[in-house]
Amino acid sequence: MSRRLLEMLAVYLWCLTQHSPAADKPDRVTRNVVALYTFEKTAEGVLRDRSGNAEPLNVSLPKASGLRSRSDRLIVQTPILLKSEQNAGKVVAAIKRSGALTVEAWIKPGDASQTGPARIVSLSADPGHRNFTIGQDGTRFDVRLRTTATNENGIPSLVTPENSVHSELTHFVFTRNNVGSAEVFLNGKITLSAQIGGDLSGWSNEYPLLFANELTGDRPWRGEFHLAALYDRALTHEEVAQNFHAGIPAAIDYAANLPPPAGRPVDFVQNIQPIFRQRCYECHAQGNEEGGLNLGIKRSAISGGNNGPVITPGRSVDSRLIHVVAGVVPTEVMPPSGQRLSDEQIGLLRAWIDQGATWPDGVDVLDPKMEQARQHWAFQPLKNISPPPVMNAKWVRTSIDQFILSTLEQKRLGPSAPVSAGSLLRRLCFDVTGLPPTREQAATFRAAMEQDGIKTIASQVQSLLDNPHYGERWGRHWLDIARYADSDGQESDRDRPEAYRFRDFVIRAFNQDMPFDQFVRWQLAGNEYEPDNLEAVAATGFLTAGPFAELPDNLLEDERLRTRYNELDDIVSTIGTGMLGLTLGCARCHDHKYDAIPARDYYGILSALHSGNRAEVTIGSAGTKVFAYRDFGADRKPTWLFRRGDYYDHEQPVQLGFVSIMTRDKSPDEFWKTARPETAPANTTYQRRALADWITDVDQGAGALLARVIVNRVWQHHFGEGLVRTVTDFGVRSEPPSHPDLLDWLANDFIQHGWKLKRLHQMVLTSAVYQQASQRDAPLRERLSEVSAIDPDNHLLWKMRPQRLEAEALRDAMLAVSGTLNRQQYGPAFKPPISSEAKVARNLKDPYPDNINDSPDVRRRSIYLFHKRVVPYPFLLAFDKPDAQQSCGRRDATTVAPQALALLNDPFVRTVSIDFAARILKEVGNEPADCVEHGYQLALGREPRDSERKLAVTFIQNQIEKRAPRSPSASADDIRRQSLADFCQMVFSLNEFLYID
Amino acid sequence: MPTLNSSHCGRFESIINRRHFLQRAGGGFGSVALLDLLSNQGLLASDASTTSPTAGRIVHFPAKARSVIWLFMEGAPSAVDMFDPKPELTKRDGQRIQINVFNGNPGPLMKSPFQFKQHGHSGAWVCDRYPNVARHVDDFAFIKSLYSESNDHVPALYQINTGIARPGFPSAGAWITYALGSENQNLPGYVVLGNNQGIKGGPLNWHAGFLPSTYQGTLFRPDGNPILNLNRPSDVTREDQRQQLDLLAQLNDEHLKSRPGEPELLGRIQSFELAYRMQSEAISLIDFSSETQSTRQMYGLDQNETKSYGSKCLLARRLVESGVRFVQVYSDGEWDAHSDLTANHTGHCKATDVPIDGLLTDLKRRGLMDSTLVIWGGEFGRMPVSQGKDGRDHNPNGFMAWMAGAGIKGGTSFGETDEIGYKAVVDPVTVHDLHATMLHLLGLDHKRLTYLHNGRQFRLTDVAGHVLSKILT
Repeated sequence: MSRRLLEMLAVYLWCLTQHSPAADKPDRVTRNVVALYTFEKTAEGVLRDRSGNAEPLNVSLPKASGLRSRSDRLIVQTPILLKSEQNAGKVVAAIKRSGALTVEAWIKPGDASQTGPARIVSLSADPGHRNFTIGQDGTRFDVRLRTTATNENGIPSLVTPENSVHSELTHFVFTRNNVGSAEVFLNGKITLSAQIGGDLSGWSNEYPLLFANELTGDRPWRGEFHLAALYDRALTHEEVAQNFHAGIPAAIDYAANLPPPAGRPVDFVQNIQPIFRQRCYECHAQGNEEGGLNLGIKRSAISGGNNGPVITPGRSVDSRLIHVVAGVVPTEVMPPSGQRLSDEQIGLLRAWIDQGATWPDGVDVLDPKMEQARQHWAFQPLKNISPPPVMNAKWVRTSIDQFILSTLEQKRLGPSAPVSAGSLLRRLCFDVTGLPPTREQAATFRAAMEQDGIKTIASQVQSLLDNPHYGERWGRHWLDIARYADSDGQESDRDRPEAYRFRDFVIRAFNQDMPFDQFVRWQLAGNEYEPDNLEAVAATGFLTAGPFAELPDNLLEDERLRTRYNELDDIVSTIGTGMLGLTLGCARCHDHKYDAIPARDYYGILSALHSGNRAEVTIGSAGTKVFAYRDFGADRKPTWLFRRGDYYDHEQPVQLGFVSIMTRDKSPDEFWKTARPETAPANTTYQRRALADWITDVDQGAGALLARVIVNRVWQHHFGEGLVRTVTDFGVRSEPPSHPDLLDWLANDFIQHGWKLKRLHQMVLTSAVYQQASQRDAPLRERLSEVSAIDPDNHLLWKMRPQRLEAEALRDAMLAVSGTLNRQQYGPAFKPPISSEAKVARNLKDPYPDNINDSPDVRRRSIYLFHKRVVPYPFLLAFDKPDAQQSCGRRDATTVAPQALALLNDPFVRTVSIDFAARILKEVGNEPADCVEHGYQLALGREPRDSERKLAVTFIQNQIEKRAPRSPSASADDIRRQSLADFCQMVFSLNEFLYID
Repeated sequence: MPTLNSSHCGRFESIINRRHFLQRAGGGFGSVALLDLLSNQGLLASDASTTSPTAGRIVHFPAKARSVIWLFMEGAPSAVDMFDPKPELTKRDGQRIQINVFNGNPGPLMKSPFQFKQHGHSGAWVCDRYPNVARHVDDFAFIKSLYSESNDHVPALYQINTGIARPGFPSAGAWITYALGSENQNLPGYVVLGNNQGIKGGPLNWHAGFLPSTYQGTLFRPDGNPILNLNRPSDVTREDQRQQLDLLAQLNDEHLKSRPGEPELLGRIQSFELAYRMQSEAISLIDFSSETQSTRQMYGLDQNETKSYGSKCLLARRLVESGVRFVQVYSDGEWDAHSDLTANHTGHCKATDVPIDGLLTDLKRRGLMDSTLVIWGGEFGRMPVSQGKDGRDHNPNGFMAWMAGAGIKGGTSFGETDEIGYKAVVDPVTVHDLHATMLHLLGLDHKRLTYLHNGRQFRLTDVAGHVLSKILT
């Protein structure tokens, strides 16, 4: 048998197997494919480049009777030219760069008599100019490749032997590597090998890719195309064989791969538009129109995208829309992320198209984001809701309980048992003040609880909220949002010795229960409300708290502008996520992708800040310095919408503006007018005041959202998670609230009662839901598996969540327990000692000082600790204190060994452990059992169990015995203290110390 | 057909779920093998796709590189004086051109003070100050058309480390550790070998940004106390600590018994044992006594000028060998030759030439070159015009780097600056491209490696980045 027959047999056998999915075929070589065509039937009039490489180089398919499309091939019966839509620049660039190429084609020549050579695949301009051409000259294949060693026509050409062309399905491959070896393979076997010297530097990038003819139309070829591929390297022999054995990708049988159409009349508005809205408009409607496709508007939808129609009325099988949502080609699936459309949805779409794709007039969706935003829960006015009735009314302490219990009852989830008195007090103290209860507090509370639980809890909560440590605890939460630090960050990281006045403002505001709307107004524009009030001016530290680089005026302008607009972006973004739970920053370079926040809104808000900057401001007769925000003067600085965020590309001027979805009957201009006092001092623009008035205006502005966001944050700190768990994002992609009515009720109540946080705390802390036990088996043990199945993550609060102390609370608690906490409040920040290993930064203007000694000054609460951005305090960092570079609405709670290393080896921890030991010895004497008892009471608020006491006493005694001979010069007291400190350090390391039940 | 990569705001998802908690617990420095623990207890039945952090959590396709050593030339070396000579610049030496420079006052075009020769089969040009590095050029893929945004060191450092020329974003090393975990639970996944003067911009160059802090780079010193808090307090012995931990475990156990099903508690108990082991393991890494004399010489440990960088290169190899994922080796002092290019670059070349030669040779000898990606480069480049007598000012418009090792096509060069080396003009490469390529070699798709923060899915490559497939095998 001749070799050719064997090859044909191979092809035949392969054809037999090609539709069998189980056939064991290798994959095609995909590396370095620069263009790939598979020629399957399509209704689009386009032959798609499926290489996935760069911009697709698609080829237009003319409408001609001599061009037949079959499911797996394209048949050319008469002279026709197939030409790429653009010049093949990407192919040329890639191949020129590598100096090597492969041209591959699965074809079936129409006959063995066509000559010319007849062009099969070509990258050329006319019969005399080309980069390459694969042609047929009778029974020989003819390859012309232009190099610096050939002429412009690629002559001399490379020609296969006589009788190598047959009217059979043929796998043709031509390769040439970057040193000139050229080879031709037919059906996987090498047929020809030659040298084509020179390089490809003469290739033109102005030729299109052609099939079946020369560009001039005078070298036609007839036959079938099954596949064509270009690579920018020479495939190896093995790879050629691999592609041969891989065969032609199975023909795509769309009809067989589509879910059936729905068997009923389909209504566009009822059945189709909801699918578009939910799954398509994000990218294919006004604002984005990716691929030029807009499915919101009838006319656009029917005419299709950049690559032609996607809907063929009457023929869903031929509609590209259906092909991509069904994911028939795995690389072309829509929507590109998230769940695929269900078969039912695809069936509806198919039926709609098959029934003629009827689209009534007047139902176009012009702005889907705005439409969605109008219905989004977070942008609705607050609902006036009454707490729902519950069956177990006896359990209810505050209205909050009704909302929670009602849901639990619906789900048949009982609440958990109340927590013990000792644990409740500990929970309350850490939650409200961030410090553990004292022994005396604990004893009094336990005794009083036995008399009257409800009254005792109420008065305990009240006294904690009145405690000045409350402001330190809750102020710290706000400082995370304000990305507060005591230095500039960036290269020089200058200290901000006056920044603490903002921190003090925050603490005082919490302690004085300043109405939250005023708290917000002052932070945006305090100096425009009360320019002579130190607190009001200091409040604008919210705007100035972010990182900042001072650049000299003579520095490159580009550098200065970039820095300036990055800083303004930091402020706008912080207002967005921090106050409104909106990712405003996303609209800096384009309209927000999901939320109805056009870039115009971003720059409208930026306008409020654009006329000012950070400044050291002097206030009052005492000349107090404040690090505050100040406008340059009374004149508003022109502000533009920057195209793609590029500050050199001024798309259009913008006026002061707000988030338009929450700007109702009162325009930004009217807000601004109202904000300007009649006798306005001529040193500020009052735009920030207008912004502040709008953001707190419940009816005409963003006040309802502002209230929802802060109420949710308070809830998060009390319960570990927010009612809306995406605390920094209330946009359309946020998680819906677990208890929407409760959120609205709380926000309403909050506003009605003067935006007072303490009232809100009081309601939460005295509720029955807050007083539940936190253990997982707190509900009836026999029901645990059932409960866990219904609500495994405890979203519905059938128990409390144990909470881990944050970094600051951990440090403060250790100091408090050791009896060495310096409770001095307010004033300049203190710098604790930091080991030299953690001070690795060059060029700081204010380097972190060395040789700081331990003293009461550095034992103040952590909120007063100087946060130097470039040199953060390692102990707090290890326990997930945020780095104050961006607003942080929810801290991480990692569990990693460096935390353990810190508790074992950090000199601070050892020192306070020794102080703790000294305190115990001083208060209860030397007896180990007494020491253990006292240590447990101080640190954990309870007696040790017998087993614990025994373990601890034995440990201490052992340590004394071991330590004594090791340090003969040490006194017995020293030995005892160190040994007890060994125990105290482990008390600080206990899970029970870090996790509050 | 819309491109699949055009959405940077990405998907939104629930931020708090069990899987999320697990991600926060595993993979970083000293992370606890909680996932194993939970799987063993059957607590992970609903999340079977989660695997142990030691095995790596996120893999998009098979990786070519297991680890990365980034030879970081802080201060910005000059391409035209190192690897990319420009005949036109030599020809036009002394001519004045219109040009904006960072510090103002540009001088005339200045030819390189160094001599160049071609090396290897690939014929790559290398200046005469790098004779030993020159021997490896056939392993290098040069990228000669990098550009970055900022003209200022610190934003540029932040950009090359984090992709964004602003502080506060996660560094490439943090992203990679987040994605791949660490192969050695007793060591950090991401190690930074700094220098005694400190790095401009400080630890924000290797921070985790909004990723959990466990993924931040750990500064590791080649002498003394390599990691923070590794030394016990002076009055506590190893035996004392063992006793303490035994007590702690027993007391914690009592607490745990009444709180079944709280994985954090169990994980935290483990973390103390891990910390205890880490102390000896980390210290043994900086003990070079097991290295032969010839190895030490190879890294230049016997010479004063090369000892410092050599020690860091040797430590880098030891770290990679021990399963550390990502190591950055910062140069000592800056290549920031504003006024004295000849002296500055001669000195830095001298300090790094033998150590880098030693590292590459050693990696090859040990078969580690196939699994390690080596990168050489700084945060930007330098101007073709002079500053002062023979200095060069900053140039973010065109600079270079080279890559070698795992998955890199040696002897290649990608992209070009213009004829005087001012600006990238042929195949310009962004920092995002560099990062995308790095991730690709580690088996990660830069478009799919995302993290939800403040309502947005962030990527190391922001909204950009293309894999430089031309320089890959």
